[in-house]
Amino acid sequence: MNQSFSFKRISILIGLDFSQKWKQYVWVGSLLIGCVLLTQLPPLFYEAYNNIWQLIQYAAIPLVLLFGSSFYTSTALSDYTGGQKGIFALMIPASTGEKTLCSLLVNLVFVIPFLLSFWLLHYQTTLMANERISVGVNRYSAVSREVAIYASYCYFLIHSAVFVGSIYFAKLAYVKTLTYLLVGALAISILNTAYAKFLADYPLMLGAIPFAGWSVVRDSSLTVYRVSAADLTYPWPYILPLVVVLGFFVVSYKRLQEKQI
Amino acid sequence: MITFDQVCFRYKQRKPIFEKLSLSLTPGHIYGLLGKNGEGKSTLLRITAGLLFPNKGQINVWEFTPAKREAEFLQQIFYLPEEPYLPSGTIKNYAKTYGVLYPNFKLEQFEEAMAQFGIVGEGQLDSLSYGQRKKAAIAFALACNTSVLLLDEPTNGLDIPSKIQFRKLILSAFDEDRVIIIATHQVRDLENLIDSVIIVNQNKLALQASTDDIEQLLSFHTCSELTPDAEALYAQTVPSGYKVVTRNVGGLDSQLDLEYLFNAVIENPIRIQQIFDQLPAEGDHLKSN
Repeated sequence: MNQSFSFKRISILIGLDFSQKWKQYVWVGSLLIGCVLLTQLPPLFYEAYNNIWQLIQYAAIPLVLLFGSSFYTSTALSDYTGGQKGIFALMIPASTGEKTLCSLLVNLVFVIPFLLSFWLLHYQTTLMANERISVGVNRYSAVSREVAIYASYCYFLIHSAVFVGSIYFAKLAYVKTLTYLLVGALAISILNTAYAKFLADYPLMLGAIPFAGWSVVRDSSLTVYRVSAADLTYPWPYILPLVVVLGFFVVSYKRLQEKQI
Repeated sequence: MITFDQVCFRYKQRKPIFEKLSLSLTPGHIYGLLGKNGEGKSTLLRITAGLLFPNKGQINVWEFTPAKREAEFLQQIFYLPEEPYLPSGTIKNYAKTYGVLYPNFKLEQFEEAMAQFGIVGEGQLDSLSYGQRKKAAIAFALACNTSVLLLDEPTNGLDIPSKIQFRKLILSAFDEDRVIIIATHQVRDLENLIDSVIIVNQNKLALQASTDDIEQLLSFHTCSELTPDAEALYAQTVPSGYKVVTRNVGGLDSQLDLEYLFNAVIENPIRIQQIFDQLPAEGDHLKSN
């Protein structure tokens, strides 16, 4: 195993990680899966549309999918943050790259299937619930494809930020990371809206979500004009978040590299 | 071979721990690292292990730069802190799963050491007492057979029979290709174990010498009266008079007393340095900073 990068060593590290943390993974994983089932399945048990269940289904997207699931990632690199456990973890004979990759793989093994399962359940339950409801009355509606894609991007952004936070903060990593993340997101959103208003010559109302188009109301007629991203910038709303996600993973690696205990 | 070249280190917003520390440690020696509280014994071990990075200077451990923490480097070094962390699980499983990562790990050696310490290999690590956990950690550290073994206060928490076992195990695991550094306040535990002494004091290396050289240059004896012409480097009252450390002018045989040596170095660093300056440049000797 005398090489800087060894798949055998990574597989050993992954085995060690699961052997040490399997209880925690099972506990958090079960809790999240339970929350998803509780929020998505109820419409299947009724033959009439219920607005509350619909709202709960939608609320699960930010509460369970985006923020709740990120709790799973909050311990990804926490073993290395300090104390005797930190010394033990840092002195394990594997390179920093191998250690980062191990934590990343262990994380993605849960994070990706969880995301796919959530959307599968969300769309399938909506479809099945609507089959039980009579035609002509209110029906359940799943989120649009665009919203699902946007939420999925946010999902990976949040998880990658929490991944960095797990090595960056020694104490209360999850709370601190989410605080910084929310403050950062709010700041970007305010700046984005201010810039959009400036470009749109300060209309009556304007809604602008980062990495998405604008909704503009120019006058009292309240006609909503939808402004999509220009063709020239088309790939960037998709590429930039991916770059940020990868950037967070690189920062985690660098942070682990410079960690001193 | 471990070399420190003009190494400076300080913790953030605190006074320097080391200033221009130069040091050379060769294989085939067991070094005893001594120093007062807060003088940087543990820090020195952690810098060697790559857990702390020097502010200035170069460190070389078997051609590796510790701060890079390369896998091959970590396979060749084992640092046992004063209060070692052990993962959950059984003792045997711990040895098997983590031992795989060390190329020279020997499970039989681990089991033998555990047996000598009187610990059964099927128990859960979580259920062990502090002393037993320490024994398990020492047994694992020795069984890894790394080129460099750094032990920080290894005998703290060990009972008297276990301290004897510890000494036996260290000596049985030692060979000419290994460097073992033991940092401790329990100097009695190092007697008849170490063959070289390193003393750090006031941000500097106060002494690095082999026990043979120390016994050749210094005399540790008891006298009934303490006269000024004795030029004692350190003296302490004992029931039969005074136990003193003096320059060994007549080439007398005397048994090294680490506690007295340490006190002599702390009280008379300049005179000690002058005495040890006469040693040849090669091998263990005092490095003036």
